[in-house]
Amino acid sequence: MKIAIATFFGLGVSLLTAGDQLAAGSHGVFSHDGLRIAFQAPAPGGLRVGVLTLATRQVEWLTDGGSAAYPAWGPDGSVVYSFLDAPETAWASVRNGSRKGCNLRVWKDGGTRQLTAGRWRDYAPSFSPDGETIYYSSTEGEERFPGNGGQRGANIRAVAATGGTSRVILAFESLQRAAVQPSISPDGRLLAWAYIAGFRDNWSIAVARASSPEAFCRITPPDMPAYAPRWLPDGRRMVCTACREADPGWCVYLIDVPRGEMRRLAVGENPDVSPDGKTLLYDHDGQLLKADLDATLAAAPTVTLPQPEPFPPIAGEPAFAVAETRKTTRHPLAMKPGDAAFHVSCEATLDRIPAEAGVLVRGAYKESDRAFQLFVNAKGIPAFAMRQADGTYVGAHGGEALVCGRRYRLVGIRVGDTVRLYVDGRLADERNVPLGILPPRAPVCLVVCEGMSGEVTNLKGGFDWPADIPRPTSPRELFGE
Amino acid sequence: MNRQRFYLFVLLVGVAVVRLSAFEKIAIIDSFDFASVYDTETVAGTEQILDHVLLTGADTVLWRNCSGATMRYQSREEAPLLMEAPLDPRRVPESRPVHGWLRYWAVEPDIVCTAFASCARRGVAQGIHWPYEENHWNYWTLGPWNLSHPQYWCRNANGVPWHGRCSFAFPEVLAHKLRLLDELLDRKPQTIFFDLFRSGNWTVADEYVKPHRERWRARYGTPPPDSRDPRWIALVGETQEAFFRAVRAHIAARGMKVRILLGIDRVSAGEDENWTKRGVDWKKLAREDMVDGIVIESVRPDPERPFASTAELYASVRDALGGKPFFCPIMQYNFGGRPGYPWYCKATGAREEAVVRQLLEIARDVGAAGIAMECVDHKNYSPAVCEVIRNFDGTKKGTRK
Repeated sequence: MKIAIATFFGLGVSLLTAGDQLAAGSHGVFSHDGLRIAFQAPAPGGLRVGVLTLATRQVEWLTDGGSAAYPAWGPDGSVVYSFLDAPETAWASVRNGSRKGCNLRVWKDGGTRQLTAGRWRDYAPSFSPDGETIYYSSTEGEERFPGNGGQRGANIRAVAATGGTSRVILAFESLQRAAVQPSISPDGRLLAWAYIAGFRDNWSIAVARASSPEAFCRITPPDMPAYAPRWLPDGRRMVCTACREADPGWCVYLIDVPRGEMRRLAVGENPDVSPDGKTLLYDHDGQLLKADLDATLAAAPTVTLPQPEPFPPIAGEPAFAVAETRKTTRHPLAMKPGDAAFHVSCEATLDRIPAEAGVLVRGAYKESDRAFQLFVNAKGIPAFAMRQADGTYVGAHGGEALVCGRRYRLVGIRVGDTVRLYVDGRLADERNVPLGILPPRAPVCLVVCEGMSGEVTNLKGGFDWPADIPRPTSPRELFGE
Repeated sequence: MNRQRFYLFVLLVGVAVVRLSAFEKIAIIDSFDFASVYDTETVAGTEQILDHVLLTGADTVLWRNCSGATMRYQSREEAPLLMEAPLDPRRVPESRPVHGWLRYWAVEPDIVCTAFASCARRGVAQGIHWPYEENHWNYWTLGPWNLSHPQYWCRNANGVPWHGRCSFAFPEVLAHKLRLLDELLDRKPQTIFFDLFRSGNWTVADEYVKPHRERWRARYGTPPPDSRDPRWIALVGETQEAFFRAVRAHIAARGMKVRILLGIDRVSAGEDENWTKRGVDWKKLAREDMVDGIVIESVRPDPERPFASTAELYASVRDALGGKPFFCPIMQYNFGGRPGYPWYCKATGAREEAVVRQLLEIARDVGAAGIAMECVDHKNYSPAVCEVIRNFDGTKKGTRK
């Protein structure tokens, strides 16, 4: 069944191809030989995972009971999925010391084994191309953040397909960030995932070298929520779910990453493309659908994506350095950090949480005595703030209070229209500065260790990118173009 | 009529008379806040919550129906399966012990029905506390319907959408809310309380959706203005008003008598944020019978004259309502610039029992129909405060100076 649907799209009208209906279900994914599809479907009391053989349209259910979701194929024909079974009430499970969570299982040749275990959530897994590693989203480790009313993060972890201890691939020093649905490119070089940077943010697609995921860039624009990325066999393009204002709902988009172009392919979600690159698989209204990718592409107009520019290759000598101080000191300097990319870093140890804000370092200009500051608020949360042109502050905040007596490395970076805070090398927060930074017209005076009880050491700053902080990449850099 | 039935009749009449004349004491309940104390996914846990809350002397219970748009009853409209984290990948899970693993939408029997039946047995009036939000400042509280319909998400002036709320400017969103209302009405509440205090960080600045932009352009012939423009607030206010009108009409169409209360936030002598931030003209809603009463959820008193300025703010609400009932806040905590009674203790140096007594007397003296206790949680209202509230006779004039 192929129906041409005329739909308003951006500047013109496009023809969307409705796919052939395969089965009731969602989150379908092709096996490596392209002959089968693993998918999830509603079952009494939960979800179950099944495998559809395309030639016969027969479905074999892999799970029974609980909820099983997010299947992914390994090259050897195994299927990894997330499994959740919660027969007890939450209170009873805590009282009984349950360690049951939502964890990964692997099915192969009729047998099932547990891959991960713990009182957290492991989900949305995918295999590395060689089948040796499984990447997945996880809330493991989020107990680092006991507070903040339940706001959590989700990280990317990896575990050997044979089992064992998992390792962190990408984590944030923040409650408000999440990276889910990791998808590794067919050549194993690039990792893509869905990323959200805070409660007021939207899901977006992030891409990085698999070897340095912290240096990621977002490839989708802020006005287009997007998730569920999957690479095409060519390793340059990907499909994902996204929505733009004129769309009738979630749609399947194809993004050419190095070219910075995208096309809307269908109304639906959770796409995948067959290993031969010819067939698009997605779901819509609880039905799995497939369509000819080339035909679909031919009917879809191209939209140019705004290209994130590479972060400028900042280099230079530190503009200032202060070795160590426990008391308030002032350091007149000949620098104007308001005009350019800028960073300030230090190590800080608090004796106690300040009653008001405690300043680790601030820059006093003629126009403002707090043009920038790295500080700890009255809850012990670290922050890096800069004053905007209208006099208001934009601050990047840490996710959790600093622990007294422990030494932290804090880095505040301002590049372009953003300020970033890193805690112990991990990105904690990033904020846009919509109004631009208040430009200084006179040299700055550093004020260090003010209103706080503790120690500030190794204070440095200037116009170079800190060596220990991964510099965000860009699609062009990723593809060497 | 045998003797037993006669006594029962007399008792019920007596209760009804007392209730009609009483100074109503409303307790707002968030069962989630009891989750680490009681097994709140069970009938026994629900009973324990009510046992505890009613120590305050509350005679009306308003039970929270949701966390954001994650329902706390067996909802058909908000797909139960996809409320389970992380079965929808767009919801970042919450992993705290107990709280992160609650599944109120799946509890058998239905929690709201359980709570309401218990209230009926106890002779306590019951209703729903429905926050004016689709999130509760957390990802994991986003609802399945919201996450499935990005085309209705609100949008800022730069065109950037946000999943925090679907806009009432879309008829489909209004229809969705009325289907949720139907689910609540099926459980036979006596009151539905809409709470503007809890609005999930949403404001009229998030309402630059296409229907609003087009309506603006048709009316004024210019691009939409800054969200602080009174004309923009009024335009967004039209869709908020349409929601309350639809709610009133929907309840009437079902032939039910359900009291509609509206909670207003940060009442001050200056800007009315309920209007400027939420676009809700509560005075008009009250005057035109779209709501049956107003709950003052918080005020912004003058620190130099805490009680006197509080009384003036309460009176300003009373004077705006044209005789509609209103309720004054008793709040055990300070929150985000909203003074609870600890703030008054600090401002005056008085003990909490004295402060609460004073606030009760102010409420009575300005003519309030009662008080609303903002979130009675486990042991947050001390026994001494509970005793003051329990024993307060709202029918007598007090001796407040």
